[in-house]
Amino acid sequence: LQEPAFLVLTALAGEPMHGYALVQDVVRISEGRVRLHTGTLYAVLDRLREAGLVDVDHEEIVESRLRRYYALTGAGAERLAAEADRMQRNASAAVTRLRALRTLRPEAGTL
Amino acid sequence: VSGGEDTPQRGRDVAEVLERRYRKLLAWYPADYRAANEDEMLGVALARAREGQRWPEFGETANLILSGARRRLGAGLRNPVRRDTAAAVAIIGPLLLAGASVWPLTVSLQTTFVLIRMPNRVTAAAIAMGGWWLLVALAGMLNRRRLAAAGAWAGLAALLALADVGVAWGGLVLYVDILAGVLTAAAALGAVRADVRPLSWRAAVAVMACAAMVPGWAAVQGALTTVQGPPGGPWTISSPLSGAYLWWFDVALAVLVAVLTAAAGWLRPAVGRRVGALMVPLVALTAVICWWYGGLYPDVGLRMLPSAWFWIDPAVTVAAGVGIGLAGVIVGKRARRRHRHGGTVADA
Repeated sequence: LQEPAFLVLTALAGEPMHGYALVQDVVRISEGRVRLHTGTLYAVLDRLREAGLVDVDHEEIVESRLRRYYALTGAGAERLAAEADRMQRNASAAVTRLRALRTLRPEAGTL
Repeated sequence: VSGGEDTPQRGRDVAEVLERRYRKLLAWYPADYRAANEDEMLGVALARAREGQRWPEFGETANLILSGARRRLGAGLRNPVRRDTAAAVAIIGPLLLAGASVWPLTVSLQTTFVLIRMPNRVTAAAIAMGGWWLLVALAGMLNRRRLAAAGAWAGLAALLALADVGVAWGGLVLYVDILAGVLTAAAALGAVRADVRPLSWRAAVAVMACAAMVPGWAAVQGALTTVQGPPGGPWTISSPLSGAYLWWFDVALAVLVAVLTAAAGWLRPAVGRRVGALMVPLVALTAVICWWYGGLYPDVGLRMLPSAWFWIDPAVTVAAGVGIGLAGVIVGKRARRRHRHGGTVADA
């Protein structure tokens, strides 16, 4: 999973969301680092829908404009959990090695 | 305008202007995708905009254009008919290019054209390119699509590099080659996910053999030319086809077109029609050049060749090919619209 897809799945793990709510939530999750463009958001949603990781939950009309809510599927939750686990293990390995490095070379910095 | 800028009416006007501009950007997406998603995407794009914003941000503009273009390309390649068409062209293109590389080799065989004998480096480059295109076609025939695509792009780059450094086999042949190379490289990319081999081995061999006939006419004439005379001369050169080379091109090209048509006929009708449409610019361009110059090499049998024309050859030949291709697309779209609207052409 690329970062935008991971962040969208993470956002949808909370609750079903419409497009702009997803953009805002991804900004919150990434602490302001990632602000999805409209084209990127829908490209990611299309890929996730084709892979069966996300589906349309419901639709509503707001100010005469369609608003579509997306929800995580069971497969999406599994994939997100697997990806988060993988990233966590990679991060743990990096932290462990950095601690060892700090022991050997104190000038390498602190964690 | 003091006091008027903050009125609700002014705000609505600004929002409408911005919405109109976003709609224009969304036109980069395919029509069916827009029908399903435009309203929703518009809502997100407008919600992302700042208060009073009249123009889409640069980043958002570039993102929508690229995403739309990618979607169009992706939609095209998801269509199995288009994928199979690309797979067929990705094999026919390198075969034609391999055939075209015969030209500098056969010219050197001709005693009557000894003055334009190809330098060794040109002959070596032609042999190398001919072999390369054969390998690209072989990769396509063996369903090694990624390898074929990489080879096609590398071949196109080599053609352009050879043209740039001046190692080329005669002006117009190279320009036809470059147009064929562009077509081949684009098709090879589109064919990456194709499933089946579109051509039989027999069809592939027939296409290549006939493609070699067009530039290989010189070998025919060379083979029939006789040189007689005592040691030390004077020599008598006898060529039964002397003066007939103009129509040799026409005959060879006609045979090539017939074989290409037959090869396209072996494909599924929908695929064959598309392959034919893609080949039209190339064949038409070659025909125009042969008719115009009396051959693929401008020093042989010149007709209607102003000296300045030489300098705009590349632009004119490529532009002519692209123009013919676009005309084909427009004609095809009009025909489709007419078909949809029961015999009447709808307003654009």
